[in-house]
Amino acid sequence: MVSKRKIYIQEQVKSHAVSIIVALIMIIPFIWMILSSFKPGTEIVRMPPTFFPETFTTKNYVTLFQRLPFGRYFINSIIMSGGITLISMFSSSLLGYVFAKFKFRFKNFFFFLLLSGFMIPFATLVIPMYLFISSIHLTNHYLGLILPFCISPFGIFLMRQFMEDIPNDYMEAARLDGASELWIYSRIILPLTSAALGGVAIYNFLMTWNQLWWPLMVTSQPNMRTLPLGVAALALQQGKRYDLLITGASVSVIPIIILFAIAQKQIIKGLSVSSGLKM
Amino acid sequence: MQRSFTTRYFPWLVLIPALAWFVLFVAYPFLYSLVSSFFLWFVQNPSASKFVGLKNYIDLFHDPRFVTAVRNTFLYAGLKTGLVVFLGIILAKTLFAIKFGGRIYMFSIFLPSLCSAVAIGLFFTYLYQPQFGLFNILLKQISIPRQGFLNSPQQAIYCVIFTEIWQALGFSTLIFLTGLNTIPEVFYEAAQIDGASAFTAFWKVIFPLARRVFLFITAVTAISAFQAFDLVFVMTLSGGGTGGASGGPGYSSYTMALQVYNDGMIRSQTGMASAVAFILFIIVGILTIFQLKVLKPEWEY
Repeated sequence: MVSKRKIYIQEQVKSHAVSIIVALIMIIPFIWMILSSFKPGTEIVRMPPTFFPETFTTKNYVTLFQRLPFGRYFINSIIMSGGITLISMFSSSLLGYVFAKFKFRFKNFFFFLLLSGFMIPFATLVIPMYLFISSIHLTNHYLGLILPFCISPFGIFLMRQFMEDIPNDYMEAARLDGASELWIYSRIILPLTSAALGGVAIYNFLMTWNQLWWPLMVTSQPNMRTLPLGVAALALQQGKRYDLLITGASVSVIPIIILFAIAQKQIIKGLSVSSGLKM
Repeated sequence: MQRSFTTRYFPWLVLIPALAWFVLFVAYPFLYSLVSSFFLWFVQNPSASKFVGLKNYIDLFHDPRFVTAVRNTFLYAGLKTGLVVFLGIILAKTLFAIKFGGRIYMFSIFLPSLCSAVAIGLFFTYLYQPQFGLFNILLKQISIPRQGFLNSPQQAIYCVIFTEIWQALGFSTLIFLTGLNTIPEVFYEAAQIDGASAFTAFWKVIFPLARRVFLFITAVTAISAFQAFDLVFVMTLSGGGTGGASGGPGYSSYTMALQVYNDGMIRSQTGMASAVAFILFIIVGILTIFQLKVLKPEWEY
């Protein structure tokens, strides 16, 4: 059996080698980005470039936070993504429950109607959506940022899939005991589908946290910008000031790196669930 | 069983707000796009808009910006989908074989997928910078002359697509890996007992079982690629100005989504923007129907 063991070791070595190379290609830009944010502007554009900072400085961060309200951008992003995540968890699970467990007229029609939102590219809706939001004076307003994403067609689809597996007896028994529909939803249905709900939450949070297009359309006041938009606006206003651009980019990725390092297992599990394949 | 009042009306209490939302944020914008694509549309005063029939669509096909946008969008979708799926399978298969340390590899491979396209796009513009950017320095090592990258009309869109592939690879790898993990162990054992080589075992036994995952990833990647906006927007942004002109140099890196934004928001040609938006809808709609078909389970192991 020596040869079989040899093949096994060879395969392991080969797989690790490929994985290490790919992992380095993926992680080095992040390391270099963050290291560069601590270099003076002249070192960033120097030939040949340096990997580790020769002169370590936090001046870029000071300049960035003095010139632009990055703290405010961060809070705006939290309000927008947090709001959308909470609302869409609520709406996806309620609608998923209704479509999975109730019989009513035109049920399939309504289901496909809501799901059709998923088929239409954002680009097709974005200009009229902006005109509508602007006509009801919600530009530069948190509601304007949140409203278009209150319902996640994909979330409904996912929650319905998971809720269909719950035996009807559970609900019927509760109803016989006089439980209200909201009680059944919150005490029986939700706890049984918490994994899928977590998936919906993580999916919606990440989708909206990194979103650029909609905030770009509906916010014109600097203090309403979200983090990605604030970083993009930096490129627009400061042109090729790579020291500030790289620092702005670092500010927006560092929280994600920390979050991912802490909750890698949950995030990966949530996103695998939300691929909708019920794997 | 006699159902209580609330039980009978519960679905409607939930549905009515959702339908109101649907009308305001999906149906209305969609119809607005469709209708205005047949008009010379005036946003400020829609009643003054002039019906022009298919003129917007005909004009588009004579507009070099649109021809470029369509070409770039298909290039984007083709290259991204092809490479992300192909490399994703290989990488997932490699990670699947690994007995320990997979978590650390997955951390760095998946990290770009979690970060904003804005941050990544801007850092890559630094790497692509012709004078002091990393890529030209690397090319110099192998004696290739300095390239313009994002400053070159021929290369700009490829630079964006490469960045996109770098960023999106982690997602397809993750889904493939999840797919491989759900295939019951007996299939791997059976393949080995039959004396098949590792290569044959994978492609002949395992891959067909993961076919649904494969089709799913292909559809999802293509759908998102056809709507490419964020990375193109930030990487081709000509900074220093106030208008936020993207898609350069000239219009060489236009995508269809970017043209919707430029025509609708900056050039105030809403009718034209709507026509582009509607053509994009048809393309993405076909792909999504395909995806929904794939999501329906046909068979189980």
